[in-house]
Amino acid sequence: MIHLILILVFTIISPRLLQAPHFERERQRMVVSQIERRSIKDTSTLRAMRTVPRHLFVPSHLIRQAYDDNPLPIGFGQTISQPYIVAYMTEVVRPKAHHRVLEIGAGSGYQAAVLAEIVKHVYTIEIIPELATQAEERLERMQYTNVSVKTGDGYYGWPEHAPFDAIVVTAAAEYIPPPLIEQLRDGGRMVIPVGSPFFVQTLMLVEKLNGRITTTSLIPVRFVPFRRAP
Amino acid sequence: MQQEFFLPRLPLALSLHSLALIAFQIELMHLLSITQWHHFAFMVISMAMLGFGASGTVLALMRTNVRQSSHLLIPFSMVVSGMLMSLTILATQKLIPFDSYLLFVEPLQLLKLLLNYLFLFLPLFVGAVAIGAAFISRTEQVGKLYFANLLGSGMGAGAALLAMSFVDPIQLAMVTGLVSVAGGTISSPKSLLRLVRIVVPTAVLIIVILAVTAPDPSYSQFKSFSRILNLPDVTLLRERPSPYGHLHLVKSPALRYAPNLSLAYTDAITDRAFLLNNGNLFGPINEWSQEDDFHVLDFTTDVLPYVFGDRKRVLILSAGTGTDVSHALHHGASSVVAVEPHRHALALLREVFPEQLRFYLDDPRVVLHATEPRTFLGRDTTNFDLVALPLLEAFGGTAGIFAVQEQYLLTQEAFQQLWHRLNPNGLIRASSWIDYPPRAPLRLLATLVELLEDEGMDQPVLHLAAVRNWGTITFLVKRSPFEPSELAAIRETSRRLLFDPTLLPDLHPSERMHFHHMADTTFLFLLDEILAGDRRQLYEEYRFNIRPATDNQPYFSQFLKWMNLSHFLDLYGQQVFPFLELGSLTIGITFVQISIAAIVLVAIPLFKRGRRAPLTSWTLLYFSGLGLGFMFYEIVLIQRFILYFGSPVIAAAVVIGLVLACSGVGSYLSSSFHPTRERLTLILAATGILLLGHFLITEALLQNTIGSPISVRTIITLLLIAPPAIAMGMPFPLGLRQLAATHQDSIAWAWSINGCASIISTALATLIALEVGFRTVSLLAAFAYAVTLIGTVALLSRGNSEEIERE
Repeated sequence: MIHLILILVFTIISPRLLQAPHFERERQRMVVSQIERRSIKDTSTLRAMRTVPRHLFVPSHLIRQAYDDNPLPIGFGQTISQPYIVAYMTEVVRPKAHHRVLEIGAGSGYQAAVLAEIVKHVYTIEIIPELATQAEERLERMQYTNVSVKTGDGYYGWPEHAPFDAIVVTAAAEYIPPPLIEQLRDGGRMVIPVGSPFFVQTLMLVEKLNGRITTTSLIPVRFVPFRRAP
Repeated sequence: MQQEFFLPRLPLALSLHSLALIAFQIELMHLLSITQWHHFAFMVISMAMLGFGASGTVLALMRTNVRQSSHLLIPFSMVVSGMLMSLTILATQKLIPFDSYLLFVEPLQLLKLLLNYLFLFLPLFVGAVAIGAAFISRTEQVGKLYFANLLGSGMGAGAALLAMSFVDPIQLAMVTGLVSVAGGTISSPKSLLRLVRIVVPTAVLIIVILAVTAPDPSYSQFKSFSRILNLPDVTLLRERPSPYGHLHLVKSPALRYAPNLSLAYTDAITDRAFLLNNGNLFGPINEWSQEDDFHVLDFTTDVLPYVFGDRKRVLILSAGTGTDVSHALHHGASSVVAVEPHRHALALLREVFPEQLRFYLDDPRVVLHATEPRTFLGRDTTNFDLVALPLLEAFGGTAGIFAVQEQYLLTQEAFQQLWHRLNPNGLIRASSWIDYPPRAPLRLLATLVELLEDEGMDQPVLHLAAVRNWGTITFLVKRSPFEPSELAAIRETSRRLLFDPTLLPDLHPSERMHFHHMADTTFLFLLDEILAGDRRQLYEEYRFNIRPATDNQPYFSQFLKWMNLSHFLDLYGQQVFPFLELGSLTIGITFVQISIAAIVLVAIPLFKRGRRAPLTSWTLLYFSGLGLGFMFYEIVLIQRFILYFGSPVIAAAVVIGLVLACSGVGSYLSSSFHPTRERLTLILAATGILLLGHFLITEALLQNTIGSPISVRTIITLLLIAPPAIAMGMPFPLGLRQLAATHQDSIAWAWSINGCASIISTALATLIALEVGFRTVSLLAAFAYAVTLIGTVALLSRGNSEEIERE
């Protein structure tokens, strides 16, 4: 009830804020100030971030904060990642137009949409049925025909469509599921965030090359690198 | 006539009402710890407890009416307070549930938090009005009334903790109000009999209906319990209330336990059931049997102690659901001692999984101790081949939520005890998730290196090994230097399981990042600095506090240096919160909030009475000093007795119960004294000296008698606590009576000051303990009484004293 009243008040006071041109400007500003400024250089990633209307992926009562430099809650204890994290994870897996990418943890569907702007097909799995349904409907409404959404346990991956050129895990666990490593194409890259959803997150890159698996803890993605005392 | 009827029942009513109020606060804290996190519970309850200070302020503003209307005000407040206890639980859990994690992103949550403050404040405020009104209107009997108040409070603490074992937390908090309604009924005068016959049954009916139809607790969506409930095909196998935490046993095909599993592992992960405590993961149900040729921990860095040497005698500390126990048995241990303090969790496991966990709960090779690990170490003298600690910190970091939680197992003193339990070739194994910026593993290594130096090891590096997987690091500390064959075994295991050796006596730098690379290698640099560099300088210069924790400051997960706050603000601007640690930040915010509110509450009556009213300075100093001193003493005491009794719950129950009961006795005894200035100063001096003496002998006495039978420990506890607590019960009622002699209208204000100071002291004591330790808090308790004494001598001897003495 309070939500509805606040949204109503907000809508009456600032009707222009809900109009598309405003969000378009916000989005361009987000890319310049939050993403390019932090050294994301991959042109396809930047283009995707400029294209996907993030405000359509956040809960209505948080729409005003859609382009803020923050993760936002989407319910069920899940978040839509900070824009920079989405861009960074996209860039890290080096997506190409012919790639088939697996995403674990569809959430709002935003990361899948960003990837879908770049690659041939995105397969995304969400374990919470309500979120999976919402994401699927949202992506359909936005005419993303190259995204397949499945409700299920991401642990098992999606063996029917394996191997994948890249795997993006957005909901990290205390272990890296063996089936995902199995379904990663040789030469493929998998990226996983490690950290508290609202605070510092370190991205980890898993690479498979000639059967050998290595990991790299990348810099924390929400903050500038922390330096030791001089 | 009304008063004659009213008076004899008042102490009993006050006892019942005080019992309900204290029990309600403890239950509320418990409930909020379950649904949110402990530090947020502390913040909310502290604000709600300002109701005590606010009651004094309101009574001070209506002071003439209080005496005239006390026969109505007291029972009315008790009954309404009882009803409000139920209604506020309903409101906060059902109508305006807030989520502490969302405070940082949803402005609406702030509004919800403020409404929670307000709702929870109301029953305590109205309840405190009844107590304050009793003191104000019956000043001549305040000694006995304060005795009733303290005795009831002590019983309330014990009753709440006892009831938590049997009753659902939300229903318990709701039905507690009935006790307060009973108090109100008893204290009602005859003239109100007709009204009582209508109001009381109505109140009881409302409370019972609310309790019976109580909503489920409103869990934060970010707690493990809420997340698990979102998984497919989840089953809640069992739910059990307990003073150690609320237990949930859940099962889902999507639940698995394999922390920091090796990338070389290719099979299925099979755990399906988990035990949760207060909505957080307690442990998986690991269905291992002797016939199994596989153990999941063999694919983690926890396997390292078993890849060389014989680990026949193993000690598992904080054993949880027993996964480490099965791991030890899997590697041929002939004797495993497991220590797990959560006895209610063990009872539940025994009840639900007697077969699956037979290896843990009913195996002749396993001895299970349901006590705090440090308490066990204080009593036991056996030696072991391996001492295994639980995995430290949490995956992805805890965002500082445990920063203000005492962890006595991770202090320097604890590691010294562990060292002396090792056989000549024995090992300590301690693993930690690697956080960023690096903190926990650095403090762990610093603790281990200082341990080795303190134990006279010339070259600590020869006794240390560490191996890193993608998310954790495992340290091994060996009593004797590592042999070449042992180092070879560690290397071979690391290669096989894709781990990177990180610290070995003969380590080559190229070995460190073979499988797991780091874009920022600061972590490795800092490990080397701790081991071979100028460690003291690093402690000073590093942005975080990584000095080893001690029993005096047992906060292993608190890394914030407040002096670096401006540096962090400059560096991170609005994104500074993660570096402040939620626990520390919450305590800081709580202290600021309470202090501001308390100053306002104390200042408001001054506008009515005037700043230059007689005894203003003395009243302010005296009653705030007593509030601070009393609470500082109680908080330190609970900490000191946690290890002594092997349980924070028992320690809290015993200490709160004894301190309040003994103080009540002191208050009762004070009734026979005439409150002169000389007596006041004498009692304050005696209290300060007793506190000082108490803290001088307590630590050593408790350490030396920790192995005694429970009966002996109880007697020692009573003898330690009774003298200062009895003395501490006297100054408050004597001070009120002294005021009453000349300035009756100041009593409500004094009640307000004392209430506000008591609440401030809880947050202040935690902040002081975090920064400088509990010993300082102890000294400050005595210091508070000393300052009160000096103030009393100085302020009463300059003009006011003559006035009082004349009376």
